[in-house]
Amino acid sequence: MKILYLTHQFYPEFQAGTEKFVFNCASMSQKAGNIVKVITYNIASVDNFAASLHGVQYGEYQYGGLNVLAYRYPNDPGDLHFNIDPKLGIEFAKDILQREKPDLIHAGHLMRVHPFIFAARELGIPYIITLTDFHLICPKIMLAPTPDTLCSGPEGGAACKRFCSEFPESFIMNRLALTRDLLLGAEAVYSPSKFLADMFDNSVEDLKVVVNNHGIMHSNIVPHRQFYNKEDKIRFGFVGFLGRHKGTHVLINAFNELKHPHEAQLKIFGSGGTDYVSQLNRLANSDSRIEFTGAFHSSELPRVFSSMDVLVIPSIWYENYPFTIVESLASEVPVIASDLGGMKERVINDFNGFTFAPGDSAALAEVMQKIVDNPEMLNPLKETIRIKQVIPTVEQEMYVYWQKYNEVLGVYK
Amino acid sequence: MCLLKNDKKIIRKSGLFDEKYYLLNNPDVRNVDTDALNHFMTVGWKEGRNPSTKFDISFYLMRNPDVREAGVNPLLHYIRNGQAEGRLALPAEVMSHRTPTNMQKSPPKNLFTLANLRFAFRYIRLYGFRQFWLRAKNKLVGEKGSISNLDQSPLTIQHVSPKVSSLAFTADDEIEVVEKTVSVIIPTKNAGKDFPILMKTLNAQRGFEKIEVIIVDSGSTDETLETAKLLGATVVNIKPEDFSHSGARNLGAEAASGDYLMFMVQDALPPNDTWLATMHMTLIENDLAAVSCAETPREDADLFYRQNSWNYYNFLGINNADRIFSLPKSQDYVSLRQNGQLSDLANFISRDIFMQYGYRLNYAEDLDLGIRLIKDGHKLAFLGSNRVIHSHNRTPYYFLKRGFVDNIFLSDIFDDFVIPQIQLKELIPDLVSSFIFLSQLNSVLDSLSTPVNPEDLENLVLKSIDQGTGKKFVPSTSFFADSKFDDNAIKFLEKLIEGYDLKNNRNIEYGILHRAFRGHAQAVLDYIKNSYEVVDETLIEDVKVCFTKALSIILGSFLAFCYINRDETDSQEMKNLYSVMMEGV
Repeated sequence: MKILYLTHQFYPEFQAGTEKFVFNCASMSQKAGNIVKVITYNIASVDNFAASLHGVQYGEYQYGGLNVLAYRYPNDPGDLHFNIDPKLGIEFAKDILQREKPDLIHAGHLMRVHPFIFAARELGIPYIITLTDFHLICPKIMLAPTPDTLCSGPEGGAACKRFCSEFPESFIMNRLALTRDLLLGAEAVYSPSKFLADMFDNSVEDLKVVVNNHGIMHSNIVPHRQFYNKEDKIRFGFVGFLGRHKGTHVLINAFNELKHPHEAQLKIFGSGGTDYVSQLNRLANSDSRIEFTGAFHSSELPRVFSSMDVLVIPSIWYENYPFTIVESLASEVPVIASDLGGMKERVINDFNGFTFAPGDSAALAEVMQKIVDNPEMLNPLKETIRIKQVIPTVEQEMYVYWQKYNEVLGVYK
Repeated sequence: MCLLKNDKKIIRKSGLFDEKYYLLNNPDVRNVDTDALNHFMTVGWKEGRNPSTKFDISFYLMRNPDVREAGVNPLLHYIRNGQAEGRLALPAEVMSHRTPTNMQKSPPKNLFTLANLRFAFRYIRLYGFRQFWLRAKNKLVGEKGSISNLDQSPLTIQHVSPKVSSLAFTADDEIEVVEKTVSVIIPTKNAGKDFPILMKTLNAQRGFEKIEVIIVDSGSTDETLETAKLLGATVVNIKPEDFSHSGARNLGAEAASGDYLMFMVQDALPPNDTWLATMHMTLIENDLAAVSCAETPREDADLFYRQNSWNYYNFLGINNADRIFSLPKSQDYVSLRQNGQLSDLANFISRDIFMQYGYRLNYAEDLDLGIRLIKDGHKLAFLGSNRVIHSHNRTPYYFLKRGFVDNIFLSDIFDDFVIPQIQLKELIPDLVSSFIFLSQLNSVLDSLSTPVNPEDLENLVLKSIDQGTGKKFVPSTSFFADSKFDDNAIKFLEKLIEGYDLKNNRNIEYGILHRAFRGHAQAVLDYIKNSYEVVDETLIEDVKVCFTKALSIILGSFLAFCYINRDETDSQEMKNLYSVMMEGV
């Protein structure tokens, strides 16, 4: 069978979680014997499009064994990132689908590439959707009306009207109606976390999202085995993009509040926006115990997680399914995380780590202090993680989709 | 692709293609476990291989110069046009034997063309007069009813709904729990770092009152034993020297208390938490003795492994289907293999039945058990829709050994398994020529400007192989320099050809290995056409490794034939070869 994968952006220019998911999905599907192609919008380049159709420029390339079709409009519409306009690019999408003749479409993200779903509906091509963020129910994508506030869903448009009044009410209502139409027309809608699934189920009437956790490539994981004694010094770690919503400043503030500070270290892995990184450097105040180690390649995960005793994920936004948390747990490294969204779904107090009130550096410092003072309290957590924590493999995650593809297309009927 | 699909449909519908006949009469195709009709459509008819006893390719082309000149598949021509135009499918005396009509007798002299005689001579030399006679008899008179079709009994599998996210914390649906216990039996030795994931996934299985895991360990020195105990498994220890594939599993069964046994391997992984329950439900609802399932590859599975599985499942008929096996009408080698296969990757069986039979042999004990069960009237199932995650990337040297061991075993248990009459001293020049050819083929692939489409890759590879056929060249031993062989394979091959005076073997022709390689290459290319629209640089590299492993497995097979054909002049050398090849597989 032939399956097209849709995503708003893709490798090599973009390498975040959704791109990783779509790559894994398409790659595993190809390995299961299907013909696959990724269709994506390219906002990064204007040079590599060899062809034009209905005024849309497009071109194909190969990445990691996958065939990718990337396109872009000659002049990006100003609302490209949040508009769900059923007419935008529809003729282009229809012609591409008629040429490609897919049996099925699997969308990993619909930003910019939603015309392909409208076209699929017109052409009678079945599709499934995996939700990876809030884009379909929030034009600001993160359910964050401002950098320091969060909302709990559109509430039928009432929340948008109240917190995000820059959008006309008619636009919001029309967008939510289109979203509902797209989601209910899918053969199935999946989410990697229960939190994200519940948010959509509560926001879209009649929708029932199925939870399918993202899997990881265990071949790239090495357990960090250590037995802690009272006198051991604790190394806290942060892994991720350095942006305000990730809350790294909360962590540095908490670290600065620790008593007996010589007994702990903080390693920060990742890179980010210049202004925010400068702000973090100011907070760190040249403290030699705080180390900014920069970005790293995914093959270096064993080095990253062997260099820390506890991972801290202090995000001040929801997070959906933070890969970093599951990679840490797979490496048998306990996690301290904000008591929020997809994080609190993965981190259970006294089971595999601890949670704290989001954005509250004093609360975080309290948890960190307990560990600094009693390193041996990590031992039962590590033991529990080793025995009871199950992190699905990428093969187990993809098997769910493989079964759904077979069901939709009647392969084993 | 579509045209090929349509053509296949037309041929299938005509009843003029007989898969069993084709596989039984073409051992090189059988070794690939490829789709027989696909092979016939792409390669077989061009090589003059007949599709069944009902159609003679050579005869049809000889009688119809217009078809020969058009270069079209003669069987398709016959179905589409020839039949309606009154053209003959077989020499008249064969037709008259089968259907008494007024057809004219074809002149007997036509069978004795120079080409036919050369083919007959070569065939007798390799496969013996008996096989030649069987083939000739099939050609001349046909063997009605000697070969049965795949038993395609429809099988409905009720998949137990997986809890999907159950491997984490969040799922909330429930499935019915049966008051039964399952014992999962896994032979282990240094099971590796993924073993804890297997243990946890087994512990997470739902639908049974109790699941116990029994490992039969033959000397692990890594964390296997610690992990097993920590995660609640029962450990049965045996000495490494006491290990055998059957013996270890039988010991595990003796230690088991479950109503059902599930035999697995240490590097397999259930895909979800209802995998066992689905196997159980299949067994109960279809009144089966045992159920096995296909594998789905790990994310790092290489091209060779994936195409091998895909072709093998095509051979078993489970790529897009679940099948129930029972004793086929014909008990020839191919039919028994296609209808008696169980797999130790996942073999679910009631404990009572297993204890009556047990495993035997030190290799292919799963197939042996399956055949014994169907011979006693039991039914088995092999599922394509419920799979187990499993694959491993082995070296060319492993596949060399694997080809050897597979064929030794198959010749041991199947009386009708055809053994080409070849000796090692004849094989060596052939080996050298094939390996030189492979190195030349790699150069051709290196010079390819990517991306290309799979059909162009196919044309290029097959053209290179066909151009090599019959070509003479001066042998050398420098072909390893730029090869994809691992050091162990190179050491082995260098030792194997050491002492053979290749200088006196000037002007070697590509021979039987080359022809067998063509079959394997075609199987690889079929898989690529099925799964790729574009061949890029990465895939070309995979293809090179894949062809190296394919040639290794072919060579292993033919070394097995040499071993079976050994005589007093080379018996010591062959015994040494046997012990090297059997080690570690």
